Amino acid sequence: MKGLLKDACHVVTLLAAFSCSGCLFASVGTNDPVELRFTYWGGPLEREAVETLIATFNNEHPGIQVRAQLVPINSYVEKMNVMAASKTLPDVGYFPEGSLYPWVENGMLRDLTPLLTGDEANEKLDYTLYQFHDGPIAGGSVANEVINIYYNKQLFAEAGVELPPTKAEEAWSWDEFVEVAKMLTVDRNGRRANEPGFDENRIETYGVSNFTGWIDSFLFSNGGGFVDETGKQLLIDQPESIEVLQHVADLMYVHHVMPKPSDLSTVPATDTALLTKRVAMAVDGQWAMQELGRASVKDGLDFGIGVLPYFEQPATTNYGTPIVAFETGKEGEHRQAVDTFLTYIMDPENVLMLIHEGLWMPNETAWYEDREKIERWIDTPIHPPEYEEAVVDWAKDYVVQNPNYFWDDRQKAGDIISPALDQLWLNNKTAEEVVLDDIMPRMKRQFGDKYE
Amino acid sequence: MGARKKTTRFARKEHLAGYLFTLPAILGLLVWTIGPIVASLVLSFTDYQVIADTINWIGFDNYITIFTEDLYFKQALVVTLYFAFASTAATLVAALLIALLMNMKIKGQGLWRTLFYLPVLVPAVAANILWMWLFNPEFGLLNGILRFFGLPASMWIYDEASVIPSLILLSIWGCGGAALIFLAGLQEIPKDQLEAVELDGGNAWHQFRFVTIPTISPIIFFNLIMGLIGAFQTFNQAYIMTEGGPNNASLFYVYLIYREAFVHSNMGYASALAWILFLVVSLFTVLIFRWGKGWVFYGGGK
Repeated sequence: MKGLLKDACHVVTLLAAFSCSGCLFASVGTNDPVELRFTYWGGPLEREAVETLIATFNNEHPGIQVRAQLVPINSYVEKMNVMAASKTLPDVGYFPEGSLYPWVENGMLRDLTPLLTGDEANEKLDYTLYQFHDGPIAGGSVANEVINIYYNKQLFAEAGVELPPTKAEEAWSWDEFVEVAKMLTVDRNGRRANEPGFDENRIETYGVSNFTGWIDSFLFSNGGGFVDETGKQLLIDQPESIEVLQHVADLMYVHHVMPKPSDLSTVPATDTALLTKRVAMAVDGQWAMQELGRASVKDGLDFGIGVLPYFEQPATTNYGTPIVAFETGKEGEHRQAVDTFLTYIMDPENVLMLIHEGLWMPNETAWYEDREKIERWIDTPIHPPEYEEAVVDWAKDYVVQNPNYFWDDRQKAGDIISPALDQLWLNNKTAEEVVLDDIMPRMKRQFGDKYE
Repeated sequence: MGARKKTTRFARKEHLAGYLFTLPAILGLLVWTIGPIVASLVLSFTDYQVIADTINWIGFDNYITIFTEDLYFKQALVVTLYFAFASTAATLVAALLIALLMNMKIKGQGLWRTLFYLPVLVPAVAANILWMWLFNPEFGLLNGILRFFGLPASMWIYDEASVIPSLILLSIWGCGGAALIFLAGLQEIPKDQLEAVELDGGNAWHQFRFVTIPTISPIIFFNLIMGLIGAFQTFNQAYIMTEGGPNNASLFYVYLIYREAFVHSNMGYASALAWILFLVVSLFTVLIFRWGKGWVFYGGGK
């Protein structure tokens, strides 16, 4: 009995201790830092970089403590929906660009116009701001990213082919690009795609990676696209767009220089693909530089960067995760803290580490024009010498803004367009059939007369 | 005096204790299952969007939209019905065959039983990823086998025509659970009846047709109903392996519900889709129960 009593006392004491500690935590004093929650996604390297960035911010701002939470990109919107339903949305976060509009429409995101356009000294690149129908600016790209060609220099030397041009004015035409890709595509017997006896079913090195997910740049370069720059006129049914779609599919089924969708699982990520000589050239975003840079330092990958081939005029497009402030209903100090953090993370000066690693590009105009800033940006062991022409100048003058930044129907249209394009990428239909027979009638059913 | 016995104090206490013990389960059922079911029925008549401030009662609008305007409803329903019936039938046959094999007195019986049951224990995500490798058109094991026998290779889950048959193959691989239930049934078959067939000059087929099948018909029926209901709710394969593609050829109904609810935030609309699925599954269950009356024999029953 005595033992039982003693145990009961222990339990009571423990409970009391717990509840007291609860009291302590609950009574937040006025001098306590404002706590912010920040959600983002990214691979192991990005995670490491973002965590360092947050730790630095927290050290420099004792009044604000940011807690970063990694959410897998595949279930990011799902997670945000659940958080919205349970009123536990974070204060600040990345947001998948294609899914942004419904959140803007419903007033779930704060208008960042004063923050992102107010400061002339830190003028953001126009094309990195997310704005639908001249409405509020819902977010800005935390980092700018453009599309380029990355390649393994050794494979070019072996094939005796000149390296891809680094100046937009000297970019390859599409036909030149196809010829080069053929010379770089090698089967398991060592025959190249432009030689007789080439075995298209046993390809050791592909000339170029599969870039069906990054075709906007090529559509723009031919005067096409999915939608025009106002977001009110579809361009996907224009001959210029159909022509490009067919040309890209032909890389797989006519020229055999690009892996088919079914081969994709045999092609690793860009850095490994170039390193293992699975592909000779990769069309990819600037962000690939982070992995490529590591591969060059650690594994001796000799990679280079070039501008994209073109149809009518050289063009690339921009990506860049928007960073948004959620409408959480908190005002005052909290709001100021959010603004401080946003200003911090949106300033290239503070995220130079991520820029030096090759993951991000600055999102401010000055970093593309000011000599000193450019040098501070690209003078690293991993940025190759041609980077300034092939990426900095390219991003300054040849970007056609990605529809993700302004097209309100991006997501719904994507649900129609992507599955239909599968048939083209699988060689079951031609580009014209896919666009005119599948995409356009469904667009009409989904959107009615909106795009007449 | 009526036939009702008077409840003693002890019995009353016992009842109370019984209810108290089951209370957590009952509460769990009410809060986490019945509650959401009722809520989704109510929501299906609203325009509830998680991220919008307002909820409006819109009557049958969601249902009307589904039947008249939805671009994917019909496709998802056809895909799901095709998969549900084909995979259930294939799995039943495979499970029965495996059970018959496992029921034979052969060497290493325990090992075989374990091997066939093993896939059931593999977590769904792991199994799906494993099969993505097996299905790989270039270096996957399946095409390797086909090539070895000089047969044409397949695109498996990367082609519109072969994606559902491929997923059916995957579901057959996981039929160990059903096979185990069949095995239990097979072991209950009275030996004397099998012997009687033999004495009357019947062969193994006659034994199977006139004794085995009727005896295990309730188990066939059980596996059929459970398999079908499970197949109607297929989701993992679309979520992990195909994302509903290529060209919506594996756009399973539950994946469509998920997409509407969690990607497009249309909870009201997704609820309406879910209730339609519930009605479809109920309809088929009732039909199969009626059909079952003709061929399911319960020992000693009518």
